[in-house]
Formats: sequence, structure tokens, C-alpha cells
Amino acid sequence: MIRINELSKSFGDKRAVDRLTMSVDPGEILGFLGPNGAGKSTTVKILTGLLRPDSGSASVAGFDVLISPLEAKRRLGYVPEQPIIYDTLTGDEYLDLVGSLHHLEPASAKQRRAELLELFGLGDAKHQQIQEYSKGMRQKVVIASALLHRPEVLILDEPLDGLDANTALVMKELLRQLAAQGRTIMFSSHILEVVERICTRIVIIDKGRLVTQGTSAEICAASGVASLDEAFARLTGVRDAGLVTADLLSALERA
Amino acid sequence: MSTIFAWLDVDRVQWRALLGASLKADFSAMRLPNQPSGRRMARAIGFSLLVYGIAGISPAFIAWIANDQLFAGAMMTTFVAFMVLSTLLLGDGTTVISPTDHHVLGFRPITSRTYLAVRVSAILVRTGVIATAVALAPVGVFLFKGGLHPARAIAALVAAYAVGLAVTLAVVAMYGWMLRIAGPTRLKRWATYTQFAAQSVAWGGFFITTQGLGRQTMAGTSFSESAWWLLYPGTWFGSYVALGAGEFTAPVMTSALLSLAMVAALARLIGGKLSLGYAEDLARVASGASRPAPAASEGRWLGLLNSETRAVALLVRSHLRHDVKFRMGLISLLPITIMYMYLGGMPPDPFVPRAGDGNGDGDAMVIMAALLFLPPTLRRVLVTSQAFRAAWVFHVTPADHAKLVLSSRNIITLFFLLPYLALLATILIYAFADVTHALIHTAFIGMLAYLILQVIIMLNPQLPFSLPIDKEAQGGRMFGIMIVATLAGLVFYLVLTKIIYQSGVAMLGFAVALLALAVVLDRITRRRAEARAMTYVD
Repeated sequence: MIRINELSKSFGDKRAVDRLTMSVDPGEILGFLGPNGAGKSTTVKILTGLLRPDSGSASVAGFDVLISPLEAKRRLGYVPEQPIIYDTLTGDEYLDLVGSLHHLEPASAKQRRAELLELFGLGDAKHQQIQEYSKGMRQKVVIASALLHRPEVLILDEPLDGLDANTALVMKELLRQLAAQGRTIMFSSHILEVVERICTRIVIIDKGRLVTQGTSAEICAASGVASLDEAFARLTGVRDAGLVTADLLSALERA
Repeated sequence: MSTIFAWLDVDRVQWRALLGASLKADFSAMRLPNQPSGRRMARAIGFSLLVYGIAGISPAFIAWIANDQLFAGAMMTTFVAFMVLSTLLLGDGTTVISPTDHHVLGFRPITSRTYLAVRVSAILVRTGVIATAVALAPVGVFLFKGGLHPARAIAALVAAYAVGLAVTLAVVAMYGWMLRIAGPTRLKRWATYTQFAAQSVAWGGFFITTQGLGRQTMAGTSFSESAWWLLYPGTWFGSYVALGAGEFTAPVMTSALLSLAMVAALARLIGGKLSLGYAEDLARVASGASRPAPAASEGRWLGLLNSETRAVALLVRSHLRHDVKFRMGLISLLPITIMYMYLGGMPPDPFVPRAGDGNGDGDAMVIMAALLFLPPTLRRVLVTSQAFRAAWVFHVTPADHAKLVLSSRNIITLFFLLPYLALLATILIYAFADVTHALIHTAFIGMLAYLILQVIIMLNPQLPFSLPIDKEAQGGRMFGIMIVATLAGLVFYLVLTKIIYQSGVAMLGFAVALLALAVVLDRITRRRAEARAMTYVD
């Protein structure tokens, strides 16, 4: 599970996360939404140990990320927004590296990474350097590395970015199955249709604060609109899309 | 102004905008970390100018003591040429022409002529800044030596700019040639090796010219007496100084004409190399299918290492195989050692008392300095990487940061320091003609080098490959390290030879003390690495 309590983080004068409180339970796929600059990435970075909060607390799988960071990280799988990985390694070597960092037993880790690479269609390319990979292949390596140690908690930031339609389909089903096994999944994305389809609950944040949470239907009902797109726009202060478009066209014509 | 642009068929607005962006990109590479952007840039540029300015001290010194104007001018243009060459070759030559330009500008309404004008202007600004900084001190000497000589000083400045221009054109031509014969896959590697060779020659030239030739030689050297010097292009541009001093002799005039012919020939040779079309060719071939790397061996020995050490070893192995810059960072240590040895000659046996004033101590000291220079360099190569952002993986996994830091140290020691010491031991055995003396001396130098490595890591524990490569700061850091290493080498050498090597008990006691210190430093490093929050650099 993931627990966030009164979490705050500022960068200079800008408050990126502002007393945020939320949780994700085992078996749940939580859609973590917000406009650009809402504080999603900062929250995720705090949960994964990439950033330290100014105040508040956060725990992963029951372990506080500040008090017991190693215990939390042992149970965490993370797919970052950008698949930035060591390009000089091969796909297989990268998984070997991650397995080592998770202290996996080398022999079983070798078998597991071979399986994962094969399942993600990277079997033939596993000895190729990552710098020769396409964007989708890199994303697959990152996803495989997040799953390698069978984590209790998965935090995924735009995990479907760059994946082909077939792999994306497999990935969505995989997330459902992992949730069904009792794993906790936090899913951050800008593609609302995907979030609506696979997430069991949604949290929307804006300006570092929680705006609303619930199922897609509950959020739509509370906002008095028919779709999650409209609810999102209304809750995060975006003007009516039609009006914005009209203004844009007008500005272009004026120029 | 507008007429000139119209005559050149260059879009003035685009030229101004693109030149601004290009210069900003060039100079932003010089920015130092943890500084506000504006101040950071200004400081970095100021620091670079200082470094280039320091490089001008040697030719200024030569100009001061040399009697021959042609020789003094040639030395100055040689230094300017090396500095310009080294800078242009940084970053795989992207300063000259960038394949990414095509991706950014290819679909914009920009003509090849405008692009050419932007690239030429940007390169000339950069070259001009470097040439000015390097030439400043010698030009000052040419101005004031033996009275006020403004014509000679102006001629020297023109010579510096002309040689800078020639080097720039030569680099562009060289890239065209390398692209044609090496192909895109090997272009980067070739460029890096060329950069390495040029830098080695530049640094070697710096030391050999300032220390090797010696004051008397330089004072007595005359190019005017021999026609052979006319074969050296540095003389051609250096002849401007002689012309400025009023020497209108046949060799000087011939040299000046040769320099003009060279610039004209290079300009003609590169033709349309700086066009957007050329950038397109580069981009197309660079993004083409590259040769698949051979399958990596399993590396069974990796299985013997603990998790963190295995992770570091995996990264080091792959960087060593595939990252040319990493490899060059390590290989560059060899010419430095060779250079020190060339300057100092074979070291004398420190266990054998020598009569006289201690001549020869300096020889051994430079070897010592070269060795003490090794650990900080190795450590820097291991903690910096172009892929530093990928270090997020160390922060989101339960890896023990202290272990990763210490593993880096162990990998450095095992795979780089020990082989280097073995090489040194071989040389010392040959030099001393006494195996025991050579091995004891190597062991003490090795222990000292290891302690220095530990101190450096203890002072600033960092995760492997987790910091950006800051090229400009590197130059300054290297310079600082060389000075500190030389001083440390001097102190250590005196302590060893004057006190420790005097008795077996002292040697044993010192060895035990060094080992104890190593254990203490190990503990402190671990604690510091555990206590220090090594933040992710994004």
C-alpha cells in the first residue's frame, strides 16, 4: 500500500506539493492525474526516494520512505516518465544491473530476466546496446526492470508511452492481473481514456493539492458532467475547450 | 549592413537569431553547476579565458627570451593552433557542425547560405575568443620588448587570428574527410582519438617547449638560418610577427605567402561543407543503421562479486567497451605518465645513496606526481557520465549507497590502479636494476596513491556515473590536481627517501601506519557515505 500524509515540497518560492494526503490500497490501480506542474512527478519522486519532502510523511508497503527507505525500495517497482537508462549496457546487462541492486540471487535473476525479455519481445535484441533500441524497446526494458524483483508496489509514470498497440494491450491486462494478485499500483498518465479504463480509483491533484478522488463515475457525477475529460477540465481550472480554441484561432487571425 | 547581407544572400533576421542561439548553446556548455544561470555563464567564460590566457604565458616567455622573431612568432601560433584545435575537437566536433541542426532546422525556411553564415560566424567568434585569450600575453611582449612596437604587436594578433581560422577550416575539412572514409559509425570514435592525440600533443608541447628546450636553447634558436623551418605551417603564420618587426626577407615573405595560400586552399577545400545540406548528410548517416555490437560475454567473474560491486563492475565494463570518452579518460593517463618520464628521465634508485646535490630526485618526483595524479583522475572518470540521469536507478532500488561508493573505489583499485602499479614496477625494475628496491618503492607509492584515492572519495562520496561531465570545469580541475599532486609528490618523496628508506624498522612502521590509516579512512568513508544524502542530479 501507499500512504501519503500532509506531504509538502517546495522549490524556492514555488510550492510543488502542498499538504497532500492520499492513499492507495493493495489490489487497487490508482489513476494519479493532474495538469502539467500539478505536483504529480514531485509526489512520485518523493515516494521513490529521488526527492526528500520538506514536511509530511509517505510510506510504501508499510515502510516510511524517510525512516526505512531501503525496506520501502525493496518492495517498489518504478517506471519513470522518461526511459533514461545506461545506454552503453545491453538490455540483458541493464536487467542484470537492476537485479544486482535489488540483491537478487544471480542464477534465478538470470532466468527471470531471460523470461521477461522474451515476453516483451526483446529476446533477439537482449545483447544489443540500449542506445540501438527504439523508444518502445527502451520502455519495455524499463518496465521489465520494474517487474524483475516482483514488487508489492508499482509506481508507473506514463508506462504506455512509446509502446505499440499490442504491447500496450498486454501491459493493461498485466496491470489488472497484478492488482488482482494484491499488488498496489499507482498509475500516472495524461491519457484519460486509459486511466478511466484500467484504474479502479482516480485521484486528481492541482497546484500540489488533492482536488478530488473516487471512481470515474463518482468524479463525473460530483462535477455534474458526462465525461472524465470534462470533469478534469472543470476541476483543474481549465476553461472550456471550445472557448480556448476560439481564442487561439482568433489570435492566429489577428497576427 | 543590410546591403552586405543582401549581397551575400543571407537572411539578416535569421542570421542574428540563429547566431545568438548558437553562441548561447556553445557557451552554455561552459556553465558551472550550482550557480545562477547568468552569473554561472559569466564565471565560466571568465574562467575559460583565464585558462586560455594561462596557456599564453609559455609563448610569451619564449617571445621574451627568443632573439629570432620568426621563431617567437611560430611558437605563439603553435600554441594558439593547439588550443583552438583542442576546443574545436571537444564534443565530437559538434562545435563545427552538428548533425542535430538538420533535425531542428531542416524543416524551417532557412537557406543553406544563411546556415553557412551562422556556422561560420559562430565558429569565428569562438575561435576569435580563444585566439585573443592565448595571444594576449605574447602580444603584450611583442608590443613592449625592446621598446614600443605596435606594428609587431598588431601583426602578432593578426597571426593568431589567421592561424585560428586555418585550424578551424582544417578541422571542418578533416570532418568531411573522416565522414567519407570512416563512415558514421566510426566517425565519433575517430573524432575522439583525434581529439586525444591533439590534446596529448598540446599538453606535451606545453611541457616540452617550456621545460625541455630550456632557456639557452630558445635564446639561441634561429629559424632564419635554416630553410627546413619553412616546412612547418606554424612558421608561415608566425612570419607575420617578423613582417611586423620590419623583416622583409625572402624566407619571411615566402612563409607569409604560404600561410595565405593555405587559408585559401582550405577555404576552397571545404566548399559547401558548412551547408545545411552537409548537416543533412551527417544526420542521415548518423541515424542510419549502425553495426550491431557483438554479443557481450557472460563475464563469469562477475558472479563472484557482491551485488553492489557487481553492479558497478557491469557499468564499468560496458563503459569501457562502448563509451569512447570513458575509455579515452583512462587511456589519457598513459601519455601523461610518459610525458613526465620523458621530462624527468629514468628515475634513480632511492635506496642507493648518491653523491652531490641530489640531482635525480626531481626525476623520481615527477613519477611520483604522475602516480598521485592517477587516483583523482580515475575517480573523476568513474563518477561522471554523459548518461548521469540514468543514475535514478541507484535511488529507487534498495542498493546500499555506501557500498556502491566503496565498490567504485575497489573497482578503481583492482582494475586500474594495480595494473598501473604493475607497469610502474616493471619500469622501476629496469631503472633501478634491483627488483627488491623497485617492488618496495612501488608498494609505498601504491599505498600512498590508494590513500589519496580514499581521501578524495571520503571528502566527496559520489555514486558511480551519477554526475554530469563538466568539460570546462574539468580543465580547471585537472590543472589544480596537477599542481596539488606535484606538491604532494614532493613532500611524500622527501619523507620516503630522507626518513623512511633509511631503515627497515622505519619502513615496516610506516607501512603499518599506512595500512592502519587505510582502515580508518575506510570506516570514515563508509560513515560519510551513509550519512550524506546523495541526491539525484536531474
